[in-house]
Order: sequence, then C-alpha cells, then structure tokens
Amino acid sequence: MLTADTALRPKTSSEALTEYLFIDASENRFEINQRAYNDPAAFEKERELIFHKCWLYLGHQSEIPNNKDFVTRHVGGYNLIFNRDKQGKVHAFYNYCSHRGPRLAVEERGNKNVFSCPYHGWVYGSDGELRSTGSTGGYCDTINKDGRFNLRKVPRLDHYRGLYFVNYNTNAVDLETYLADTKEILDLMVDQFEEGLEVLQGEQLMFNGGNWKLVTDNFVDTYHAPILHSSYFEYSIRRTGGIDVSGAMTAGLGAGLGNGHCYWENPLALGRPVAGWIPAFGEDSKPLIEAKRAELLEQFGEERGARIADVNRNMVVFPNLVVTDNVSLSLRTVYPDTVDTLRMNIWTLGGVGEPEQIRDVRVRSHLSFVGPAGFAHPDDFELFDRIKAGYYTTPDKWLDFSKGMATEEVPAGDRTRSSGAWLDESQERAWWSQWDRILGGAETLE
Amino acid sequence: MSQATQIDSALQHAIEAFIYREASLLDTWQLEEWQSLFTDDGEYLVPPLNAENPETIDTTEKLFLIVDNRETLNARAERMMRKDAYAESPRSRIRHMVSNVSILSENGTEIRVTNNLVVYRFRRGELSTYVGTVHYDLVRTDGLFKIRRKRVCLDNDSLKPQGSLAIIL
Repeated sequence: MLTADTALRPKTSSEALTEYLFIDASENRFEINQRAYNDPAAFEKERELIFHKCWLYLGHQSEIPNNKDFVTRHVGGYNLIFNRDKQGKVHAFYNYCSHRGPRLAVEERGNKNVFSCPYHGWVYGSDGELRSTGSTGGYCDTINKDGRFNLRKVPRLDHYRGLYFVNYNTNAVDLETYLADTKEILDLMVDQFEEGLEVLQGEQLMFNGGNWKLVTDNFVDTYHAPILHSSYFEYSIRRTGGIDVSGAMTAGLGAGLGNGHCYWENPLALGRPVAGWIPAFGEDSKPLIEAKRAELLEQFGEERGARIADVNRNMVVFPNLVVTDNVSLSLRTVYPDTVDTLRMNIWTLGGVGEPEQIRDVRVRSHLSFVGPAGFAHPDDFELFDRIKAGYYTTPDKWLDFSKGMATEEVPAGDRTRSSGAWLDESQERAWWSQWDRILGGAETLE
Repeated sequence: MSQATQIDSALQHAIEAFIYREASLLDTWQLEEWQSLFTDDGEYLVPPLNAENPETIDTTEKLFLIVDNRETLNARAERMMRKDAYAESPRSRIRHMVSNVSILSENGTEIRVTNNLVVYRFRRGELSTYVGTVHYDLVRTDGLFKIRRKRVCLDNDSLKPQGSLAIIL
C-alpha cells in the first residue's frame, strides 16, 4: 500500500533492486522500509533465497571431539544431527527417522554408536547407514540397496579451520569462496591459540519478539554502543581503572567484507581475556595474560600480533553468524522462528588447554556483557521489542541507515565492500546491499 | 518438644524472616540494601539451564547465566537502579514467592539453607515466570545473617517466553 510517506521514495530514483530499500547515493540516502522486517512475503523469500541458499554455521569441531559424539541443532529451519562417526568422519544429517519421520535424536548432545527410533525400532549407524528395520521382518533384503533409507545428509557440509557450515543448495559456491574476506578475520580469532579453539560447554539461548535482522543490524551497529549501553560503558571504563577512551572512540573502522559479510574493529582497551589485561581481571591473572600478549607478538610479529591481541572486532558472516572478539570470544547464530520472533544461540570460546584461571576470567568477562543476564544484551532486546511495537502502532515508515555515507569508500561501486569510520554505518549498508541483491534476484550464490 | 527441636525452630524462623526480607527488598527495588546483605566475598550464581547437577556444578565447567562476585553483584544492583538500564526502565513489577525453606546444615555461624522460589515478572501486559530452588550459604555474626553464596537453580528449561533474565532472582 502506498502511503504519503512511501510516495516520497519513488522507486525510479532508487539504486536498490527491491521495494524494501531506497538507495540514492547522489543524495547520500540509504533507507530501509519497516516491511523488510515484518512483511510475511519478505520472510518467505528469506527462507527460500537466504536460509536455503547461503552457507550457515553448524558448529565447531570441539563440540564433537570424540568419535560417535553428536549434537543436535536448529539450522536454517531444519533440525540437524552434527556428529562424528565411529571412524571419526564428520557428518550433518537431517534429524528424523527415514521410516515414518519422527525426530531421531532428542538429546542436545551425547555419544552414540547408533541412533535408534523408538517407534518401530529402526536403527542407524553413526555413519547414517540403516542397520536394522526392527525385529519383526517382512521387508525384502533389497529395501535399502540404493541407500534411500539411510539418514539423509545435508547437501553440502564443509569447514573453515574447524568451523563447520552447511548449505542446503547442492549447487552453492564452495565455502571458501562464499566466506570471502571473513577468512582473514576468522584467522585472527583461530590464531589466538596454538592448540586450537574450543567451545566452552553450555550455550546460552535468548528469545525475542523481534525480527531476526534486528540482531544482525545490532552487532555491527557501533553507533548505539556508547549510547544505549551508557550504563555498561561507564561500568566498563571503571573496570579498567578509568582509562581515557576519547581517542579510541574515533579509531578503527567499519566495513563490508564481500558477499554481505561485514565487520568493525576498534582498539578500545576495555579488557580482552586473550591478551588485554585490565584490573577487573584480577592481579593473579595479569602475568599470564601479559605473557600471552608477548607470545602473540613474538609469533606473529608486532603488527599482526598486536592486531590479534589488542583490537576488538565484531563480524557478521552473512546472513546470521555473529562473531565477537572483545570482552569475550563468542559465536552467535540468530534465526527467525516466525517473521516476528527470533532465537539467538550464544557460544563462548577459549583456548584448548588454557589455565583454569584464564578460563575463569573469560567466563566472568563474557557474562558481564553477554547473555540473558548480561549487562548489555537485555537492553538490546528491550529495544527490539520497542522497534517491533513501532511497526504495528505507527504508520509505515522508512528507517535511516545513511550515517557516514558521504565519506565512506565504495570500491568499484560495490557496496558489499564499502568501508568507513568506526561509528558510521558502512558495515550495515554492506549487509543490506547483499540482502537486496539476493531478494532482488541478482545474486544466486551459485 | 526436645531442646534441639526448639533451637531449630527458632533458627528456622529467623532464617525465614531473613529470606522474606531479601525477597521484599528485591520486589520493592531496594537493591542498594539488597547487595548489602552479602558478605565481602559474597557470590550470586545462576547455573546453566538444564544442568544435571546445578547445585554443585563449577562456574568454569559449563556456561552459567550469572557468575557474580561481590564487585559484579554490586555493579548489577547499581546498574539496575539507573534509568538507562532499559530492560528494566521503566521497571517491571516483580514478586518473589518463597516456600519450603529447609536448613540443610548449621554449625552456629555457617548455615546452609535451601528453599523453593517462584518469581513473577509482569511487563507490558506479559507475564514471565522463573521457577527454581535457591541454595544459600549464610553466615551469622553477632546475630545477623549475611549471604556468602546465593545459587539459584532454575527449573525453566529455556528462557522462552522470558527472552532474557534482566531481573535479580
């Protein structure tokens, strides 16, 4: 429906491919209609063109360290079994019994030689092969000669340095091509630990009545950080012993990394459990953290070592994997349950074999900001509720994403690789430009 | 009634009165007073949902919801009183219901207590309910109780529909 307000954005002058965005670079305008967040038609397109075509994060190798380990997980609308078979090979299966379809593994995690369905007794090996059709017989020997009753594998499964991704499109581009320049940022995370990364046991799960894209917007939205989170921000500075942050507030950058991936980095010294000690971490952890910093500089050289040790970063791997490397090293995925509800899973990471003392610093630092009872996430979720309330109780509206547009760099006119100042919004525009290209049919990800 | 039973019932009564007072401070947003109930080495812990052994699980074993030492529980209380702590500004209406208070052990100064807890949170016409047991390690000096550790083990198996845990349990 055209309201007086939408009429102000004639599609003819917009560079966007869909009716949900309005982009006019000559006027430095980049606006998103609220219907991008609450239109059921957009949501259906996202399911088909984004969640069933993009590479989606499944899990980390450390979650299934031993043969026959498995976890079950919702990924892009499907429930999957992510496991290591008895030979050590990693699989991703749709989590249902091939006979009549009930969910097969009901535990969140475990270690199993076989998956058995309690209904008629069909049994599958950890490699997904059908082992038994129950004890009552009646099937001919050739029932599974083509393997059609084995557990069904997701079409594509691959990993980058231990981070496993799936893709429901057989013809999708390979994972490394898809990841584009995020690989360099993921390296900065994985390289923190010589013995490798591990996911700490226990995931946090948060729910909200907002659209899932509010979360992807939020994690690269630097602009809101010192404002919405003023109470946390003041507390963080107190934890450092009161450092002067005025210089660092304007340092760093926000950028697109290609294919809709986006990130920011900034050197605010508010404490990094890996190598940025602050007084709140406690005196006894100081020597360990300082030694770790020296090690990183030794191993990777002054420049890259300092980048790993000292620089905070958030990244969204398009569409919905959020990587944060600041007060904690964490991964999140956000998925829509409906157009108007989301679930966010949070995992925090540490180094394999790191001292208990460092693990303690890591957990406490993570919980100070992150999670259902952190000092920041609940305030973001409160704002998502207020944004959603706005969709339904005020007229149709266009939302502004133009901050920094006049000063950013857009290499070869490709907005998915634009970059600008830390407190600006090049990174959001990179993400949304890819969303627009996919929903507009210009990007098939094949 | 034996002497021992009489002593227990007096202690039982005193401890119930202390826990009710704590609940009342939380319900009436007197959080400065609430944090002063803790010892200098006091802790406020909420173990992960669905933990097999929430009463004993260690804070580095599996990711907790809350691991507050005295400094962070103080900061939590202080932050929640601010107008810019938006998840609770404007404030929810909350109500702590305490029952089944049981003294597990006591040696005169150190007392271990458990109770059942239901917390109702009303916000924007919606109700969130948090249900669980609380394990207190209390210390008694000069007749006054202080909390050395408060561990709230939730029965909720997910935070749906609560979304988050923005209040103090």
